[in-house]
Amino acid sequence: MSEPNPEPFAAIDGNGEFAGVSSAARWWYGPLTNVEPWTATLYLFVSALLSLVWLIAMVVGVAVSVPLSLVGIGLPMLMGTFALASRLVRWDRHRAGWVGEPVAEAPLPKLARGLAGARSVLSDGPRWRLVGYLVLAPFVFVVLLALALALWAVPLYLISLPLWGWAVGMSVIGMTMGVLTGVVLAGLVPRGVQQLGRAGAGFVRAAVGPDRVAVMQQQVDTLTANREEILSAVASERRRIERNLHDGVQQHLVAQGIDLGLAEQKMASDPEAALELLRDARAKNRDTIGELRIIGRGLHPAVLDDRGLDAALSALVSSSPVPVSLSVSPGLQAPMPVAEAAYFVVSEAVTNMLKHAKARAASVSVEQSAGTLVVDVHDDGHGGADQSAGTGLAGIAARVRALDGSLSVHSPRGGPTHIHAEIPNAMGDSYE
Amino acid sequence: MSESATTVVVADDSVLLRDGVVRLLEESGFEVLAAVGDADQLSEALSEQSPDLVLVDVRMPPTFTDEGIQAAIAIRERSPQQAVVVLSQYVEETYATQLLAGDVAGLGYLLKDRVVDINDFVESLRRVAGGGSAVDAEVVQQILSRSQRGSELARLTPREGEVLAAMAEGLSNAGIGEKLVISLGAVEKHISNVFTKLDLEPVEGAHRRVLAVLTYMNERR
Repeated sequence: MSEPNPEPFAAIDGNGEFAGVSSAARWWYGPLTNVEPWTATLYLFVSALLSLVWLIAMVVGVAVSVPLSLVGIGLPMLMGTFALASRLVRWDRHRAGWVGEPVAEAPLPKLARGLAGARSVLSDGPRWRLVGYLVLAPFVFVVLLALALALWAVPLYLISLPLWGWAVGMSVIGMTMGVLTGVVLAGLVPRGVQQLGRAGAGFVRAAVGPDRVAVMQQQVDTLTANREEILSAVASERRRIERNLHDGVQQHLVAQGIDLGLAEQKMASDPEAALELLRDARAKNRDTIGELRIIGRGLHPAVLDDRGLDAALSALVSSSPVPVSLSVSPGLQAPMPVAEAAYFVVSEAVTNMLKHAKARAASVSVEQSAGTLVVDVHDDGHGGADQSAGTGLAGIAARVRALDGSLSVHSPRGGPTHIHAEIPNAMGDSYE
Repeated sequence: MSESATTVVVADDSVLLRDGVVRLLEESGFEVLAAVGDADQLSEALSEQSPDLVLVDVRMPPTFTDEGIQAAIAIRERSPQQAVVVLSQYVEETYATQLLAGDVAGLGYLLKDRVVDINDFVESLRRVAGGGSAVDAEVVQQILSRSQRGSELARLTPREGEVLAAMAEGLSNAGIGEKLVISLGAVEKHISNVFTKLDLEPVEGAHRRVLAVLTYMNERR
């Protein structure tokens, strides 16, 4: 399904006349062997056929329900017609994907509840628009299909002249001219048909696609939601740090203080006990230092700066008491926000596993594929990982989404758990 | 139950710290009846035991915010005479104000750091168990500094200011004298000056003074 060579005659200069002609021919006729022109023809054919059926459904639905709506019973029928129209249009939007991008859904405004809502349906612009489209569509698609069929037919007609031209008394010269024209025109067919298919999809988009303002509104909504999400993720991360400091480090230090205070009191009366207390205090001191190191690494893994993602992840998984296998694409490159997000996905997944999953083994894989950094973390624990608001995973998901990525968590009760993240990473490809 | 030992129930979710505190209390002559990890276990323990003192951490499961304060308030509602000391990781004035809003007899609000100064800490606990009160000096400082009564407080001499703060902490006259290294007579003179200058009704008893002083400073903020 490759695009035709944009420079058909570039080969003529260097490779001689034959090479030039053959590459030009490949360029001109190549699209005939592509699937797109055929799909486009099929698209127009199916669309024309279906739209005729839809037309009948709409005409019947509207013709029956609108007059009856005066006596009430027509209103539910009209709502049914609208519901059907909405469903049919959804199929049409989706089918536009055959010749390019599917047309995005344009949500209908909500109707008021009860009788008032049912009445308002009679003058509901967006819903009537769907019906109008369905009535208009068969004419557009039939015309487009006719043009497409004509495009296919003309070269076939010209090329087949020698088969029947004799019968109508055509001259050899005339037939030759006809065949040559047909052969040349044949290259035009796939291009023309594809354009017609796109025109059909364009009609659908213009008639029942979301309007630009709505699309932009949706983008703004998404960005706003992302921003709020990241702000709340930052806040909950800070809370987590505060808790780690107050409930971890501070408690350790106070406990040490108690040991030291008691040791001080006992120094004269019971030096043995005092020594024991000092030993306890020193052990707690060591734990506190370890805890501070973990908190520091949770804020930002310094090794990420100097040695990159692979090294940072190696350090991370090697400190896990549960064996974690690690595979990172060799020579992987990523800008710092992407690398950091990938690191924290793994870090959070591993932390969760250690805290809750009772897993016996886990695996981490970070691969670069087609402009995307793909992170997968599997563990064989008992599942139940939660991505709802306020959890560490939710914070990580917000972080990934802020980079236009996505994070999914599959963790049924009983396990196993699979955490999958995709983060756009253009840098990775250029270094491959 | 021996006659002399003060009995305590401890609630703190950190095992490490709980063990440390229990050890400290036992070394200092308290009798620890129970040591528990959250507010539910605490109320369970209190339905079986009636200790002289309850020592409770502010932050406990499930939300790790102010469970200790809520537990203390609930305990005091059930049995108003129960002495309770709340330990906090940091100064939270609203917690303190909420806790100390009513009768402060037998109430304490102390920073966890104080545990390390074993003698002072133990003394504060004994004071509260005996019906006195103990408000952390840092809490008092915070309330003082935020008090809108700056001009009135400015009329106090520095020494009288120190006496005021010591009163708010819940120290007895003797305790104030010891802390500021002045004679009992001097303490009494300063206290009477403070009450006169601030136009407060003189009250008897250290813990009632705490409430009077805190209320005074909290007013008109």
